[in-house]
Amino acid sequence: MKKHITLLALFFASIAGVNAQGIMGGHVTGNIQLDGQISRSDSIIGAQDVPEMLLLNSRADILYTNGNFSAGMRFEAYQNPMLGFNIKYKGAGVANYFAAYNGEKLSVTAGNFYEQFGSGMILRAYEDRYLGLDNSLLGLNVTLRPFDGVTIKALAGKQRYYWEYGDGLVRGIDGEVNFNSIIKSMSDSKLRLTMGAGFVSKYQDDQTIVYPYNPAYKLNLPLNVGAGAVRADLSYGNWGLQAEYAHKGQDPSIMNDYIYREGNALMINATYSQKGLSANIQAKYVDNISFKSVRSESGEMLYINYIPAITKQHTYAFLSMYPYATQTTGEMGLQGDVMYKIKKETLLGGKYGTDIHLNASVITSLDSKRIGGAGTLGYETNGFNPGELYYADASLEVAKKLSSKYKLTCTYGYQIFNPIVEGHPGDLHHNHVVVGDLTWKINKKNVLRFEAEWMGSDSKYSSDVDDKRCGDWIMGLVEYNFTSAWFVSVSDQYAYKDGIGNYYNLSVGYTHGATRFQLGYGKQREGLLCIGGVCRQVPASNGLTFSLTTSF
Amino acid sequence: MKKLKLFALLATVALSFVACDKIEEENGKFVIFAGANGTWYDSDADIPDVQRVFIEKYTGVRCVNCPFADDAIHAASEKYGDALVVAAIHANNNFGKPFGQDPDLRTPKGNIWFDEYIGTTGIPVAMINRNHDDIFVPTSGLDDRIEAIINQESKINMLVTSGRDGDKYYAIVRLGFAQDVTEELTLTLLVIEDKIYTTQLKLGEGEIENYEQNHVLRDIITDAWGIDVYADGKQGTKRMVRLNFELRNDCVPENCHLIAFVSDKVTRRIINSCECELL
Repeated sequence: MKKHITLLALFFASIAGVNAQGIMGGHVTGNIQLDGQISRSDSIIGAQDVPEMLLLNSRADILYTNGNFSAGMRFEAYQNPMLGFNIKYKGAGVANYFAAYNGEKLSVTAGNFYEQFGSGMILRAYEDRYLGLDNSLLGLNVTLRPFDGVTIKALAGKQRYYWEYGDGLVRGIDGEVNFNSIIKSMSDSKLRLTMGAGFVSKYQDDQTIVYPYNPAYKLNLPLNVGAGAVRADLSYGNWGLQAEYAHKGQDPSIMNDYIYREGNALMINATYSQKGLSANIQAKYVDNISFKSVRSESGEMLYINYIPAITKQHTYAFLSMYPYATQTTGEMGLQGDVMYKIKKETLLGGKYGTDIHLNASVITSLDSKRIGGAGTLGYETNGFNPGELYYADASLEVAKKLSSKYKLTCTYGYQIFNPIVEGHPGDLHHNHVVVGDLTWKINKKNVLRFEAEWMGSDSKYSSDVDDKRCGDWIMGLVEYNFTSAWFVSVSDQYAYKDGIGNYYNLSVGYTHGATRFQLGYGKQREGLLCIGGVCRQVPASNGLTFSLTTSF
Repeated sequence: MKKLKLFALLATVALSFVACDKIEEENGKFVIFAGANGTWYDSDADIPDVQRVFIEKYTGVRCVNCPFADDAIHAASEKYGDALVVAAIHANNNFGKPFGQDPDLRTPKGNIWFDEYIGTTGIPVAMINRNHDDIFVPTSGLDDRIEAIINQESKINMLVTSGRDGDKYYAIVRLGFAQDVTEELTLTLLVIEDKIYTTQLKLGEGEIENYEQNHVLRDIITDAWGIDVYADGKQGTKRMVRLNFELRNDCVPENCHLIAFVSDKVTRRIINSCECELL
């Protein structure tokens, strides 16, 4: 990848050259982010010494735009990668570069690009810098809009693998039709309908993977693996329904223990909304749908697809202490979510109204029977019957503005968590969480926020399992925003019963225009950091962190 | 509606360019044998219980009676189907010498067989299951000889499959001992090619141009007398071996197939044989 720097320099030099002749105008935008960490050992929380003393992740995105034409690059440097980021990121260079034309009927991107078909169940090339995840494709991406309401996408490329590219070649095509646009009689209809279908194929050379039960055999690997999906998005008045079904061919990989069972996934989402009320219910069925461009890659990279999580992404510390990681090998679940605003000037609504948010979800494994291991079909399922409980979560949040200066949010949550989803067996954890969050708007430029949390759990810390989330916890946080530019916050999480650890943090931040600087000192618990069901393991740390972001 | 049809057409055309592979299950597994070249391993695959007949016919392009032997063996092949396994060994300095620019169908290892068993005897001649006490002119008398063998119970069942690994080929030969076998055994693997067109002499017709030569021995992958079989020989034992090889440059892969036979190491009598297409 680093070899492309020269090519890129030539490319930008050519732009500059043409620009100098006055043929091109355009403008350049960008953003820069620098994150640093200094950590020292702490035997209680398990933090290790960092030999380098200072760890730095930095990046700069630069985008040149001129009419329909754009070109960009991203420079990244991990010197060395911060704790929790894969050591394979170590180094610096141009990680991403592209040139694109975006016309009314046609868009073409050459270079690195991100793309998604439908909800991503067969293809989602995306980046999440906080997860250290970037599965961008290097190749060509073409989007055709031959007439209003019809979109066809076609792409081919290889996926980023830290500073290199994976061996697998990804090819895909997707089409979407908006019936309200292409059928005149439906243009003003209350019924809105969009349908789509996509197909993605990956190719990877053959390799020798020894059949574990008899080393004289090797797995007969499919070199081309295909996945297809159909989807529909229907709405009528206040009601909405989205559904997508995906099927994947035989794809033995390290993710499924090299079994040959074909994969399936189904997502259904029904919604209702009106003023002051919105509700949705989601159902998900996932069976052996992990899809990577390299069959032997077990880490966070080289995912071709993405299975959305249907559990609520909590923001409060204890509610998010047990994040749920999507089990692409097999799971099924339901989620319901209701948001209701009690009207102003009512008994419960008071002067400003009251917001109530109720959410519940349950995820189980599939009821399956094992047939064999690698080189076999693996298992068979018993229809849509649920298996072992993986995760259940219910939370009620009530937010009320008490006066023009005070806003109070109270939350109660209950979670059942099966540690098997993180790869280790153990008893279910049953957790009760209570949160109180009070915001005091002192004046226009000064805001003080208090947060208190409690978590009671039936889990107990043991050095054998070493799960530092176990036990009963309390937490307090005070955050002060002043002069609209500065903020300072102090927090502490303490395991007061059956647990271990005392995690205190102090943060100071300053914002000026598009520039923000933040400095923190404290302890970070080891655990999973999950965004949208995709997770990475974060080790414990103890020390200083800082972050600088700016854009131009 | 026109737009919809066009969209559907475009999508169909595009989808036809990308495909996925479907691996067939064999005995509940999706595996291929990948043992070291020439090393014997235990096998658990099913092997058909069939006693086959191997005919080795010695022939030559300048042998005027050989086309009559071809006709007789072709008729026998039609009659006995897969139970008959045929190899045509082109040999002899005089009768096997090619015409003009025709390819030389003689092979060094085929010549070793010819020198060992045929020598100065005229051709066409043949042996069935390498019974060198009964070398005969294969224009008649085939049926009795064949039926005497295929009606026997098989002592060793055989299965050969082939595959390709990059630019090289491999064969996997499986042996299943249906009865106790005490003899030392050897395994021989042949490459056979059909549809080679040469000039051929024929009695009464002279030189026939573009005569279709079938069952032509092109190569012996093992030693001419085979490789040792490592097996205890007890009833129920199943063994297998992988043999890697390169195909001769002048062979057309689509017209080639493999023959494997297992024989008594001392007497060289063939116990059973099998064949498969070259993938």
